[in-house]
Amino acid sequence: MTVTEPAGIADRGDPATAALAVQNLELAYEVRGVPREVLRDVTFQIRPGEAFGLVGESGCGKSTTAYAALRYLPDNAVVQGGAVLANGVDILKMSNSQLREFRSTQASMVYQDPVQAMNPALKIGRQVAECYQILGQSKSEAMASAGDALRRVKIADPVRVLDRYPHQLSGGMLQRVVIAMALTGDPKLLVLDEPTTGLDATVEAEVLDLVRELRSETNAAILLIAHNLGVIRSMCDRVGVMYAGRIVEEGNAQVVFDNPEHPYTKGLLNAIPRQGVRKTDRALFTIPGNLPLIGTPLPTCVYVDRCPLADDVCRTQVPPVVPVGEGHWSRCHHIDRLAQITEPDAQITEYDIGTDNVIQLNGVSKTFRQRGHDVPALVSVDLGFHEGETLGLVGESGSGKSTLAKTLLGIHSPDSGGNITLRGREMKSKATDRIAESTRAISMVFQNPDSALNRMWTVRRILKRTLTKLTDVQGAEADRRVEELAEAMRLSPRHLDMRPRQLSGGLKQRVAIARAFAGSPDVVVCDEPTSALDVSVQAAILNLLANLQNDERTSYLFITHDIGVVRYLADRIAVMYLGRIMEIGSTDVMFSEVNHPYTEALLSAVPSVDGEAENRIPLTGEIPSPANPPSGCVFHTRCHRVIEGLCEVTEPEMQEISPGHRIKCHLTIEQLSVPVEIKESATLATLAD
Amino acid sequence: MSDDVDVPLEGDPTGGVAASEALATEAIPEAAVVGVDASTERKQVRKERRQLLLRSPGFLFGFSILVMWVLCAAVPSWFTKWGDNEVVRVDGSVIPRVSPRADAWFGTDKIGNDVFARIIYGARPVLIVAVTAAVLAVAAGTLLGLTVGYFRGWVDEVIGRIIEALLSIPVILLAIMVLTTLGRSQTVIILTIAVLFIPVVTRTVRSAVLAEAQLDYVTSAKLRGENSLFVMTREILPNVTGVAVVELTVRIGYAIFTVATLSFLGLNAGDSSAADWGRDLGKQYDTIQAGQWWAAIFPALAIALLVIGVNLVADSLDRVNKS
Ligand SMILES: Nc1ncnc2c1ncn2[C@@H]1O[C@H](COP(=O)(O)OP(=O)(O)O)[C@@H](O)[C@H]1O
Ligand code: SF4
Ligand code: SF4
Ligand SMILES: [Mg+2]
Repeated sequence: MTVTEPAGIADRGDPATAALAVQNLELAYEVRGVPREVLRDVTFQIRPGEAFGLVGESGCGKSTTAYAALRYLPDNAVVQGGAVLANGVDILKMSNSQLREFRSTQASMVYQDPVQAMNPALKIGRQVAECYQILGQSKSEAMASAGDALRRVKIADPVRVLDRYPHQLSGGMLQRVVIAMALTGDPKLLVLDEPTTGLDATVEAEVLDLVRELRSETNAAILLIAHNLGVIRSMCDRVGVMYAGRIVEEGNAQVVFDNPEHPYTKGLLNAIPRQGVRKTDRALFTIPGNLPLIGTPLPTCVYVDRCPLADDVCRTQVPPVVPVGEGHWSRCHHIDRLAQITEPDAQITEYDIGTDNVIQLNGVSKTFRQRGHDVPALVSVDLGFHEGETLGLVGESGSGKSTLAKTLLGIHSPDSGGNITLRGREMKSKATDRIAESTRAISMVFQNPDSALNRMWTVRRILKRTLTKLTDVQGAEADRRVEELAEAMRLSPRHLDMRPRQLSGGLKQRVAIARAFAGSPDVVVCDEPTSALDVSVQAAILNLLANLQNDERTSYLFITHDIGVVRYLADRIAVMYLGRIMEIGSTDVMFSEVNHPYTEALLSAVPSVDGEAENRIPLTGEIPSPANPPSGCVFHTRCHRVIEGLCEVTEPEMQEISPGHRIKCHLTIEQLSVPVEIKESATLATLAD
Repeated sequence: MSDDVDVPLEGDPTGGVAASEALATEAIPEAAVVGVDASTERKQVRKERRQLLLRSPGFLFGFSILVMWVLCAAVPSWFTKWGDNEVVRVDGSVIPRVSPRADAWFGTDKIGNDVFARIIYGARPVLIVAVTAAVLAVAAGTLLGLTVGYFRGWVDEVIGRIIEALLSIPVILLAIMVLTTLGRSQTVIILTIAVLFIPVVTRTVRSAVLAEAQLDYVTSAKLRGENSLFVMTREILPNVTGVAVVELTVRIGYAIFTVATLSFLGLNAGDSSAADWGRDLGKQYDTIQAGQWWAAIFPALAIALLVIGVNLVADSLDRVNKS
């Protein structure tokens, strides 16, 4: 299926002078003796100093492309054709010593998980210094350089960080260290594969700021891979959209995201909950079908099986590369018909939300004992859920969201004093002590379906066991119910006899949701249920959750990092910080009225596909340790509106600024409405303690 | 032996290559037709794993060695015309200490027994004792590891300390102490080795269980009100059987070595003239000084070959398990 690159791909200048020029790259992975094609005729160029983004569903070949750019390929990779030029030299043809030289002085890579990039047994200092020793520095010189390197990535006290082990640092700090290591030798090309995926939005924003700054400082070319399209938009000059190992559209990042010219790009963008769309407005756009398995012989247009515009021409003729603007092209027959792909119709759905609280938390606190210290992870939380309501819960990692969920579920017992009631009746604090009715009433959808489903059980067994355990339905009746349940989740009957590993991420999450609904619960706790999924799959899962809620009048406690998602699904939003609810209000008022300073900062951190947020408020430093919370208002150490003399002394009361909208802050609405000035010095990363 | 090979193939929790391919199948009933039926797919995965094993030279070599020894243990008379304790007579006269030659491939020993016949007959006692002891140790260690790994708390602390203490004393020393006190019937030897191996098996299984117990499916089971016995035996156990099977093969290797060492020291079961590699080595090694190397070297080689065979199989199983 080799197609020589047709004329029309934007002329980006002489490949010999590009920082990276991937040319007609064809690559396969050998699996059980058979080479299976992964990259098909991939061609793109990154000019010196340019940032190029690569987007597409997981499994489409983004990371393979990144690895190929540095020739960090796994043993079973077979390059079947093409070239990867760095400054005109084909790295696929380099000898091993040339390659080592190239990697230590010309190019480096940052992976998704900083923890795996570091040796857990060695101190940070030793590992960073090693990079300089490879470049020929003496031990003491290298140690000094290591300190400078950390200063360069905006770490406030390098000396202390150098003296720590990787596990003693937060993810954001560790990723800074990894970036510092990648910068030794001043690479001309920096490849970043999902560098911020595991991080909180606020930390992500800081790391991205750093990369942006380093880029203007070093003029390095950047290849950035991210599944968050907003990140790509805010970071990259140009973007390539990849599908099934082929780049289907390439162009200026802003232009592509504002005016996509390929059905796939358009589908991806439509699937994201954005521009303030709510579940009451319309369903989310989904891309039906699946990415083809690696190695399947592909039809003439790679996207034909899932494209709403596909016709006979697409099935018989290879789509041409069509220039659609300055340096912008798309590989499609029917660009003129793109307007036919529309978002789902606006369809006002009234979600019927009851007025009584199904579940009510009254003054619930949770204190962990850790090495002789009290760690208050929840502090006097009052919260109620109405029937059929979605309560969104946001906040940085470590703010206590999961602890709240686990306390509600009875995995943790709360401190004495508070209580949790189910329809007015107090529940036992431990799940094992609860009566059957309470056990049935609350269920959970976990973040990671691989962890949440038993690998050795079939889907049928998982669902049936839960059903028979939680309800009176038994025997053949249970079998029938399991099939109905699967159908309601749009699982096909053949999936019932599979085990989790045979299912994709989206399917596994559907099984997990089916299990959560097996007992017809009153409340379902969803802990970041879509954060491990691609946007197209996420959209389908969110639609499913919205529909189920509408049919069953279930309440959700929905924990998420994604502001777009929470805005789409939630009826009310609560913001947590250090175990306290700082702000709570209906979704509409949260996005229209003034916010708590913490919420303000959280909202401003989100990189959006719709364009740059005007004014990012940096959250200085890391979240303080709950073992040792700041005095007065717990947020005062990071607050950009702090009132000296008051906030660090007195803890503010919850104040109701409009019906149902409450804020825990000393400031008045008028004071909160004044725009903030941002001080530049506020971007150094400090250790938490 | 073939049972040992099949179990981890079915029980493998990691999914191996199939997982990466299933990655891309998102739920859309319309697309369902493209997939294959679930059980066919499972069979396919199992078949591919078996092929992976059969293509590994290490596994094939190790497995052939094991088959050979198991045959020797089962039907020694197929391989030699001599009994294990029967002196070789040529034209009616005993011929002790002859070097390897056409009518005595491995020579004869001090007494005049055929060394080759002693090797063939020696496979049975060592295999019976080692395999039984390892199976018992792994069964008990798995149960114990499951319990302490799941409940943690003080039971775990206490048992953990005991295990550490036991692991710090060489197994052989303990075995010698026990066997000299309790006598040395085959049952006592088997039980002693089994008991001495339990701590290390417990430790391996416990750490696998600890990792499993962290996973959300365990939380989910507790949330729907399952009791501990159910969670341990139905939810967690199937996910650690792969580890237990690999542990079994590894333990068989160590058990062989332990049995041989004990017999070398004279602590073997059965009648003192019966064929036994360890003891033959122990009794005959002084003949080496007289230039008569064969009576001692061949038993030593037999032990080594069996241990190598077991280890090769263990390694390949472990690798396929992890791939
Ligand atoms: N079992 C535990 N023991 C000690 N501290 C804990 C435990 N679980 C959570 N914490 C602490 O409680 C705080 C809140 O954690 P968590 O609820 O997981 O936050 P989030 O869900 O927002 O990431 C964190 O500082 C965390 O370290
Ligand atoms: S060529 Fe046809 S099938 Fe392919 S993306 Fe364009 S319209 Fe869709
Ligand atoms: S009380 Fe003070 S420190 Fe706390 S959020 Fe309000 S202004 Fe900031
Ligand atoms: Mg959490």
